[in-house]
Amino acid sequence: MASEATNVNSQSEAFETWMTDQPLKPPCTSACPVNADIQSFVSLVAQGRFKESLEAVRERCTLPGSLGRICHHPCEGECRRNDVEGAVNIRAIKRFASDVCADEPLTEAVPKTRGKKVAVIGGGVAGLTAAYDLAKDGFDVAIYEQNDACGGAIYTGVPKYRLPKDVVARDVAAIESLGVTIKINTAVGRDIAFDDLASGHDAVLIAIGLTVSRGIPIPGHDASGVLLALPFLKEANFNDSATIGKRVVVIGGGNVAFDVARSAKRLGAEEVSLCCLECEDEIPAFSWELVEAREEGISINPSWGPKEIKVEDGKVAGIAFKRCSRVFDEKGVFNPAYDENELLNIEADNVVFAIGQGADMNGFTGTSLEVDERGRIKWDALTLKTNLPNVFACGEVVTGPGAAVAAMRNAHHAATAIERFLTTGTVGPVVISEPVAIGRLPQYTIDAIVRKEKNHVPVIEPAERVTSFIEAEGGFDIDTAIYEAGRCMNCGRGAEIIPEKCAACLTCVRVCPFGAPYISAARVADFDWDSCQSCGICAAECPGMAINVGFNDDTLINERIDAAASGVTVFGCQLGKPDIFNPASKATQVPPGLNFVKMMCTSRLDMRHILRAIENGVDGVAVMACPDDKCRYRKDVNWAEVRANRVKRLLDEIGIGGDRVEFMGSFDSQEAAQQAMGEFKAKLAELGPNPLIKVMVK
Amino acid sequence: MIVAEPKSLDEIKAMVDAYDRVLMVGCGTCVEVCLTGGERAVNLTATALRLARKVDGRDIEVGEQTVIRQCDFEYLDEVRDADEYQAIVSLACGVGIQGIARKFPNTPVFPGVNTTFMGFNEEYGYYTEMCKGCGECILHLTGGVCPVARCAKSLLNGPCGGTNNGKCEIGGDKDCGWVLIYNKMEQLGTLDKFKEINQPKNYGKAGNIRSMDIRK
Repeated sequence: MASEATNVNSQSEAFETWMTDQPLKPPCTSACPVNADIQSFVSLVAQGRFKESLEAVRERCTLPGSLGRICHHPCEGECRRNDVEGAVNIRAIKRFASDVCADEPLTEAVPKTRGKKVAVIGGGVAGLTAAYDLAKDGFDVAIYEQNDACGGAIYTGVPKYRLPKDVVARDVAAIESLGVTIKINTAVGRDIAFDDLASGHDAVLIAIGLTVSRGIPIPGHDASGVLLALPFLKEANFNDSATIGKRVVVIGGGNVAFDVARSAKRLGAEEVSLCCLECEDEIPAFSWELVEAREEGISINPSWGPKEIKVEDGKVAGIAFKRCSRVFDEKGVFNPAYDENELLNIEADNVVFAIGQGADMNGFTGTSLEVDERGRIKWDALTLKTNLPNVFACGEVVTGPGAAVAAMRNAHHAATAIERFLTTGTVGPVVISEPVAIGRLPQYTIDAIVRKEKNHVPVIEPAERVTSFIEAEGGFDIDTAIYEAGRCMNCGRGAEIIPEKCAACLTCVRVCPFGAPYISAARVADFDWDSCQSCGICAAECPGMAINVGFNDDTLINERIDAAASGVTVFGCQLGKPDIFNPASKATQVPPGLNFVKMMCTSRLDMRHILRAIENGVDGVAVMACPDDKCRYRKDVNWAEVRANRVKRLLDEIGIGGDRVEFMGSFDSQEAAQQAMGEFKAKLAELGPNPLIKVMVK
Repeated sequence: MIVAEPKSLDEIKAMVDAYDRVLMVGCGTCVEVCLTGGERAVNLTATALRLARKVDGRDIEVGEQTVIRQCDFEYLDEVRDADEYQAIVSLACGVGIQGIARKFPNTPVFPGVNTTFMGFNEEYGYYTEMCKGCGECILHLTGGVCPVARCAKSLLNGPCGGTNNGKCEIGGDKDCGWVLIYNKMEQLGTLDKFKEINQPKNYGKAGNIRSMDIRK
């Protein structure tokens, strides 16, 4: 069994292989803390393969529905489409993949082949992520969660208007379906002893997050009406009759502070002021939080430090702030300085501290888990180990506060460390591949790219959204998602030369609209990946078949072609949707009798692809091309039409008949598409079955 | 570069009618560059042949290989398992086809392309004849434009009466070679030399059974 176990291609190995399979990664993947294969899931949405897309998201982003709503999407900041007309809306596409598959059956449990048990303490983002990886690797994983459901901060803390709780539950259910045991309402130290967990499992992962809100002991801090952020947010999330005073002051400038302020507004507070030490440019919350908070009428007051809470009759009456002249000193250390001459007084019924969080280490008191002088777990960031031989830790409890996706990254590393520990018995640094991103788009390539405006998700108007905790942001419909996904330029997944097959004939150089190919000093073609858009024109023309194109790989296309041995095979681009031929089908369903073969762009369509379909026995082949204004690429030459016509002539020569191939171009309407397909099918019926089939029968 | 054009499928099919196992060999140099004889052309031609025979109800096995050049024995050594086939179809220029025929003396070899000319690659998929291999180059006398290849009559001293606004009377929008020569020499400022009579060429040098030996 042991040798079998070591042969398993683990999650971490698979990821490592993917990370190193090509030297340069697209900027989105490079910027993503979990290095998600963003192009793949975006491309799958573009192709209408939503379920596959969701699974591709989940490989690295284990909570797609939740992160599709709350991720701060650094991927989009680096998207090279920013240099054209706007980043691809990656987060919305991820959310779409999750939402559109909400009713799909869950995946089957992964067999527990490793014979090893792992306890994960804490079912937040980090714990769930590590559990996902380890369960996928065949370990028997149990999560011990103190709340009544998993999710951690995104369950108890993040407000419903940003992340509805059923979405979290959906993400958790998908992880549970892998065979992960989830023990809710089970607090370590209260319901189960840490030492028992450590001795009863082959490995333990502590991922308890930061669940205790901090306050500041300024005068009045213990008055009635002074609240702490996390308990307040939990109350707002789960107590339908939660209330708050009319005037609320929030202290803090992080995302939690904004969650508090905006939740207070939704609970009925009329005046909500947020005061923070940082000046406007230093406010740590995401920039869009400031924009949306202001839209909702929240007053943001930068550069103010709390001085004292004014108390009347034991209750909060107001708060005084002193001017904060500096947050960090010259060495960059947090060391605020104040000007006590400048004061700000705000009348308030409630003051909420949202200035930071600490870990709740009560469950580990009296155990042999070592903590430092500040009560933090002694932890090695490289091995993710604690002082105990089989106990690891990850997530915010050890890294400190950060974005959800950062906790996810750390949890992947922890799973890698545990997988290695349980497979080989060794502990060592987790080697982390930091992908190198390809360069920016050259100007001549930017000039050659067809402009396609970015789609934004609908957002409820501020005046309406502050009246309830209903989710403020909507998602894409199918058409918009497919269109938006089609804006991805597949950076760095482009053409690759097979040097030993290249005759340096210049065909690629001549047919490329983007100026990507060139003849290298070695006198073979090479490709500038900064320019390549993966359209595949070159690969379909190369006389030496010396070019592979990442997403438009022949093997993948051939697999799709081979799915049909009868009926009509339709070649279409990513944006083409099978339902155009049958309004009764969903966009993801291919009407009966049609085999829809999608490629990045039908410019990639190779004469060999059409011949392969015919040889497989289909009666006819239809070739679509998107309308010029929708095409992701420039249409200097309609390559799909050129190649369809070449094959028609060849089929005439062969004796099968070129009439079996039809270039259909694009359609304005389903009616037009149906009519064209109807006419083509009638023509095929007249021609009779594919003569190759008759031969086979004979 | 040597330019060749594909033979019709009918012709290839007829040539190998007697066989049911043939090897199709491409050439990765000139004919690949002119999109006629590389790996893609071999694959498409072989597929077409296979399908055409299937339509006729007689399957044929077509092996597919492409070597770097068929005009060198060393590269022809890379052709594998030729003896397992009854015949070879070569998608090389006439030189390469003969190379294959010499390499495999006991196997019938058939041409899959028609070799046409030595040409210039004007743009993607478009080639023009530039050289006849006359054996006595006079491009220095004609402004770098060859009258032998680019005048329909290979005239050596100025255009014939068929020149027409810069075009040749043979039609097809072909340029008159001598107008090209005149314009080029004017551009070079060497029109005075245009009046000098070019001596008749020794067409013996363009004759057959030529060889070259520069080993000494």
